[in-house]
Amino acid sequence: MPELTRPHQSHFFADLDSTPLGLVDLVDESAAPASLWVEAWHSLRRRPLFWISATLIALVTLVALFPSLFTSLDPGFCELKYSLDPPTAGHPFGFDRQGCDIYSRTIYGARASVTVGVLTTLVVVLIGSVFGAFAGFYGGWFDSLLSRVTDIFFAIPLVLAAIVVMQMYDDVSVMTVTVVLGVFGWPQIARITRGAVMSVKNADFITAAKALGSSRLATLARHVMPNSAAPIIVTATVSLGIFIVAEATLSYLGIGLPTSIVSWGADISKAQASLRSQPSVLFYPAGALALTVLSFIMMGDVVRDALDPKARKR
Amino acid sequence: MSQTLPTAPVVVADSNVHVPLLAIRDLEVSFTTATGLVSAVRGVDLTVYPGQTVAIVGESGSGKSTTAHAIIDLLPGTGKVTAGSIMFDGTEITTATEKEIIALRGRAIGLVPQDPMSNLNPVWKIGYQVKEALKANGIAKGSAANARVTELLEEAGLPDAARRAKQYPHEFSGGMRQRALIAIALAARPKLLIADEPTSALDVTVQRQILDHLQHLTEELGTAVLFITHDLGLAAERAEHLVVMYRGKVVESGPAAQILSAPRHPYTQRLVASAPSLASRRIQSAKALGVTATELLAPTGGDGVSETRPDIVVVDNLTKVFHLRGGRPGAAKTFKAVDDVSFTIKRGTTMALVGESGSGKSTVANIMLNLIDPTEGKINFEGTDLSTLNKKQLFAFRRRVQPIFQDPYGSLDPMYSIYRTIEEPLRTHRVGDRKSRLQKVRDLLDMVSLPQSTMRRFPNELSGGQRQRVAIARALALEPDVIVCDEAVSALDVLVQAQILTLLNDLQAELGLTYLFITHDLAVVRQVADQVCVMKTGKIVESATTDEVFDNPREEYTRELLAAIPGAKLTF
Repeated sequence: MPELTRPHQSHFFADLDSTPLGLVDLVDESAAPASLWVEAWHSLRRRPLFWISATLIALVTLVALFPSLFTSLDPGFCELKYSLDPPTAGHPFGFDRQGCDIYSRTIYGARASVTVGVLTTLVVVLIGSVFGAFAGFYGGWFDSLLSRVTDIFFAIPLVLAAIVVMQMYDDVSVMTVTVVLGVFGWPQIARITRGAVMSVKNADFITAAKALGSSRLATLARHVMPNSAAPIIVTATVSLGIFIVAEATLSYLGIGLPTSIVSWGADISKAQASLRSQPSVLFYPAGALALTVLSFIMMGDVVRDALDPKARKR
Repeated sequence: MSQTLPTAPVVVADSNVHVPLLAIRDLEVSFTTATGLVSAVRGVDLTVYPGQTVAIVGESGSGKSTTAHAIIDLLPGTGKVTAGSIMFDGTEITTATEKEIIALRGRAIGLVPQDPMSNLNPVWKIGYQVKEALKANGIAKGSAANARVTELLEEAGLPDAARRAKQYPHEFSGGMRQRALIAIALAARPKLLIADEPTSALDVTVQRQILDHLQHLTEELGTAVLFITHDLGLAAERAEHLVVMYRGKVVESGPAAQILSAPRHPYTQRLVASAPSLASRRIQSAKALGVTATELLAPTGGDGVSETRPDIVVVDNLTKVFHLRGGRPGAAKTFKAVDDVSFTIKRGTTMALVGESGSGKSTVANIMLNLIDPTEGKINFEGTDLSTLNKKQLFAFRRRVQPIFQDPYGSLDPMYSIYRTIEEPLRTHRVGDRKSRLQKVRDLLDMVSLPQSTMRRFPNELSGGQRQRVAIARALALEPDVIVCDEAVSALDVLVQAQILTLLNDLQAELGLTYLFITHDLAVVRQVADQVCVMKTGKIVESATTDEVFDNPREEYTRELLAAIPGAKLTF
């Protein structure tokens, strides 16, 4: 190759004023300290979707706790003479076939749904995260056993299993529905927890904790679980909505809550008969159910975005 | 590495070497973030003439990769060029249409990406991926393309190329994948090759082979190279012209030799002073010498190790065999990670265990920390055999040996505040009450030169170097005798690395600590170690004092490692 003579390139250096030299690795002491949870909150509160779903969830919870604040009517008091009447003063949603006030039934229906949803989620998170954490952290035979058991549960659809089991009970209460849904719902959380724990347990800070003498159980409780909490919270929020749907499905099929307890599912079922003459009879309980479930699923979605470590700077 | 190049479409650089191939003027690149427009590159000037090798040097976040990606319009995310011009071979890239840029990519400008592990598609054969580059640039089709693929892979230094082309990426080692990526980048004979940290993920000896080959190849083809690296020594060795970037700006540029011998900007001076590959002396603790001068690099006096110091750790014939799961049940394979390793460490000194990936050095560290049990052999710690410890004794032993890990992002619990992180060892071992522990955490933060206000913060608010300081403070909390540093500075920028090494050294002088320093980087070893053991495939191949290993290596492998230190051949 012939020797190339390129034009002379001079030695350039910037003056110090234009690029002031910072101290190497200076700690920024001005910013307020922020834990991951605080940062998650900062990113959450900028999302309109968070505020919409939070307002809806707060409203539904309030309605479930204190239905009498919203209506003075008894949902069980029906007069056949009002059967399928359109809305009038004091009865904004009109009447169903039995002549019951749809507004008060929709209000009172929230309690059953929210109770079943919240309690089932608690049961599921408790069982699922404990089993999942032990399986993921210790591995071995317990992990193999849990994986196969959850496989079996995954093969059975939640609602189908609940239908089969609920058939056996004559005297059904909110507790029965919660227990049945909980028993068939925990494997999902167990799987999620197991995965989260397994991805955390090989981190260097876990090895550091071992090296300084922490026991295995203490390491699991103090380091592994707090770092696996995010996916569990997200899944729990979304499945809360799913359990509300499951309860409504069971009540719709008539094997869920008894008619003495007002439930959106049962009201939807009853409304079918009047669907042609008065569609609004179906619309209100179904709308309330959809809105409640939607608000929990939306919440799960924004929480997932806020807790996703990849979305933020490391 | 001598071979004849095929006489296929070779674009020899135009005879006019006075016209820049690439001219970047006042380039500004900004990213849109939640807090507004943030400029990552500000007013960068850069010129590459045909056939010339230019290196951009800078630490992480200096804008060097962003500048390179702007040239081929591959800026990630919300990044865009907000001012300035990029003139490539007569085309203005900042205003070019997408079609024009696609025509330039591959055919006129090739890119060798950083991570060979993730830049090849795992579901396609290597040959197919090279052929894709040929087809996309309209170079060859059909059986002609297949023949050309073999030629290209051969030319990139891949032995048995015809057979290798039929293999999948997972059958390739890191170095081989990088060769395949080089073949792809050079497939269309571009005039300019952008190499973005092409070898930083590879072992030093492989790095050297690949860079030698790349250099030879581009010289023969007359390809200009824009080489991006964080390593000043490597840049100076490979490029004739250097561009030093700092915080998005070019702080200094000029001929490599001139910049190394007479750096003008204070940042470059700092960089030259602390580049490990250019240092040739052990760091002496300023405190130990009783001076406060900034001059921390001083020649070692004698062997640097006093013969009268007692042995604190004696490793005897250590062997560790791992059982790997075989292809079918019951078909377990064994893998000897550590093979008959023996060495001793004297109290208050630093023993470096050097080796490339897979040499078993980290396994030794984990046995030393009593996190895994050896298959054979034993470690004596001040006369006690570690394998004989019962649970209570083991708990007590934990106080005396503490680790510092490589990844500053993984070694601190993100959920724990810095205070809780440093306090945890004290709490676990029930040392003192709340108040005395708080005082101890303050003292420890002082010791590692972090402001006390740091303790209310969380790891995600700190930089890599700061996290490593916190990890050191945590390791020191229980006042251990031995600290095992597993690649403790490998993930840090050069200047930060120099700071941490100085800190570790000061602490050693002040507290009489003993270090077992695990690293792949011989340049770092020279700065911190008194004794060196060189490991290869589980065995110790050479063991001597640092000066002896560097001045008078006995083994061929050690010589190879030493020669592979970037910048080792530079004299200035």
